[in-house]
Amino acid sequence: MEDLLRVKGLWKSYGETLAVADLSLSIKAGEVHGLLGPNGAGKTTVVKCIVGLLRPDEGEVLVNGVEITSSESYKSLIGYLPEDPALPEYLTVEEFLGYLARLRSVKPQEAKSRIGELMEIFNLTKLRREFIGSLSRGLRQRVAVASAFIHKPKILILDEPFLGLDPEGQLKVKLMVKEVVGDGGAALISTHMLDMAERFCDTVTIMYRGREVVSGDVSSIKQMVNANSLEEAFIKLVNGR
Amino acid sequence: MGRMIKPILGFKLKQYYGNLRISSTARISTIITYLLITFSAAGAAALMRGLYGIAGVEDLPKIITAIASTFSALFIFEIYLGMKGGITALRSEVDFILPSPVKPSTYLIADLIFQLIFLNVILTPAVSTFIATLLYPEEQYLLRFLMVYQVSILMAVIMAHGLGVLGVRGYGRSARALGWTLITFMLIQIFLNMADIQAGSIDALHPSKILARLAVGAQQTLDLPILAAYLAAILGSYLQALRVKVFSNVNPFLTKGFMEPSSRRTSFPHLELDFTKGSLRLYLIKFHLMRICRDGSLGASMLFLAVFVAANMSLSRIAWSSLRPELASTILTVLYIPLIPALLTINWSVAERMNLWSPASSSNGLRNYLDGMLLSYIIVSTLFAMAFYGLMNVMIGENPFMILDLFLALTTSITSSTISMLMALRSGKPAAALSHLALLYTVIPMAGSIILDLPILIIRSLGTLAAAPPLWLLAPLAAYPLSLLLILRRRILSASENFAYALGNSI
Repeated sequence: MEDLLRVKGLWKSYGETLAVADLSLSIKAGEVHGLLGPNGAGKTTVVKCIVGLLRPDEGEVLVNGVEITSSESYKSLIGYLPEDPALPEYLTVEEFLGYLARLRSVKPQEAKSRIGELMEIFNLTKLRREFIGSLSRGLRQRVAVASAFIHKPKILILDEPFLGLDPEGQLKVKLMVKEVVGDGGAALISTHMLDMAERFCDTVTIMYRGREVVSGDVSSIKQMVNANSLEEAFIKLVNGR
Repeated sequence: MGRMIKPILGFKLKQYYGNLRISSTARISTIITYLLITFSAAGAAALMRGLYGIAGVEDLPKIITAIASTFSALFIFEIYLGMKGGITALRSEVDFILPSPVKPSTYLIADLIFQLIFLNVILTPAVSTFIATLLYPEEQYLLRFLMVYQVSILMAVIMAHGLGVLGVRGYGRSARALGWTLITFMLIQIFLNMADIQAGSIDALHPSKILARLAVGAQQTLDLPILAAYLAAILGSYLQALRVKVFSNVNPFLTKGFMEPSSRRTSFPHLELDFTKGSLRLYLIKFHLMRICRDGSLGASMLFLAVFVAANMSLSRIAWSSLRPELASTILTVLYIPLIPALLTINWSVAERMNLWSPASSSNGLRNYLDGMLLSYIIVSTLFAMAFYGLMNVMIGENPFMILDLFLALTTSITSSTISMLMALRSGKPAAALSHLALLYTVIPMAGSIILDLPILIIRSLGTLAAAPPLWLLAPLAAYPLSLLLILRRRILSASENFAYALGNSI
């Protein structure tokens, strides 16, 4: 199967601090890939390089076979959720989703039905006219997650999507991700919730201090270090460094 | 109590000025800002002396008016900040210091000292240079002025704190009502001078006038007792405020000085933004217009501009004393309109920048977003320019409304909006709303737009040519702002790509 997302030899540093060193990964259509690692491993830096919020020092990022620096059009394929999404507090829930739909070139009438659908899925319909500034953290996270799906993206890049979500919200996210992946898309999920990653991701890349420790499907990684769970495998692999 | 004040004050100072310790760029930009502002203050005072024939302390009434207007502007600024929260807490203070077992009074005193330091650092160099130039060659009055100036800063900060505490105690509506009453009272002195009305009782009772007379040793018999009464009333209220027991709802206001204090309150909630109508460009222009209405930044910019223009007219009575009052009003418009996009851009940097992950992760999203922002700022600035220009001409009984004034308003709006935006796009980190960098953000668009206005301004100053410009002159003059728009807009759009990468480091 084709690689929908491919990262080759990515390097990124902030001044003297090396954030990502020679990282490569690829995600095929129909695959959920987990990017795992402890705090400061470089996961968010990788995600930001993929969505064009950081310029890599070296390396290539290919989305659907196209190098991302050649054109911005690849962004229309991507649904992005940042780790700690700031939302415009002066907009209502519906206005924010409409704003993103316009920015992501969704036709107005199509946007209207899509927004209605997403608000229904994420239990936001009753809050459609509420200002984002008046919502709790969990509800804001629901709005942000819903925004990632507004333009029916082919590739999801989600940075800690389950943070601040209640179990129902987490389930909704998983279902939506599965729907995108089931339709021939792919997802990259950056997280340090290892139990969730073990159950939800097809393949994972474990990072430590900016470098790849191991990459592959979950069961083969567990087998490699003779571990019963991904959490145990992770600790064995990272502590050994 | 005393033991706790020092560490809290130290923490606040390190937070706000800490960048100067670690970044040589920050140190250099601070020095450049101060040099620019100091020279501008000296230049403004020299211009005033030259234009209105102020010859040092011999022209005491004019100097008293100038100093009184300066004090009134300071009071208005602090009262406004008082209505927005008054207590200069940063996010980390709200999260870590306020929930600690620290007495509210201890924190308030530490903040009072911090604000005195902060205001002195940000204002004193410019104010003392302005007054020294105005008083020259009798600079010996400067020391006296500075002492009175410190009293005025203390009064202003205590008023801001008082209003802030009133809000914190749950009397937000009363705090706003009191704040607007005090602002109106301060504006009376400015408006009376503007209209050249002598009102003896207001002159005798107005704190700005009393302080101004004291500053140059021209006090009247009752000035000291009245000032003492004001101080006693302010200090008495403050001592009451220090007895506050509960300390909730304090906002991180030092970075969001011009914005609405609480995210839970949105101005103009009834404005509608319909995403199903209009082209993307039109939608984004509407989006930005609604943003600046709802987040309070348009209202704040309007207030600042009004105070600036009124204070300036009060100082110089330019429209009345000039031989060509309609030209004077044009020059004032050109000079002050850049404040609108500058303040809007500072607020945008502070409050909106972190929300930009959404347009930045959309195909051409940031480019479209910035385009809409530029056009909306030009629309707002042009409307303001025409409104102010019209208002001033009504006040001086003139009705020129020359076509060249429209071109000038348009050119000023285009140049100041693009320069303000380019500065924000090219800076790695946003300027806090109340910082020396914010001063730079206002001075540079003002200077830049005046330079780019020069071709039209020169022709506008030539009486007969400006009144009936021939077609061969009108055509290039009309093309000038449009060409500037095309060139400068391209600069903004090409900056959008690098800006997306810069955003990744700060959001």
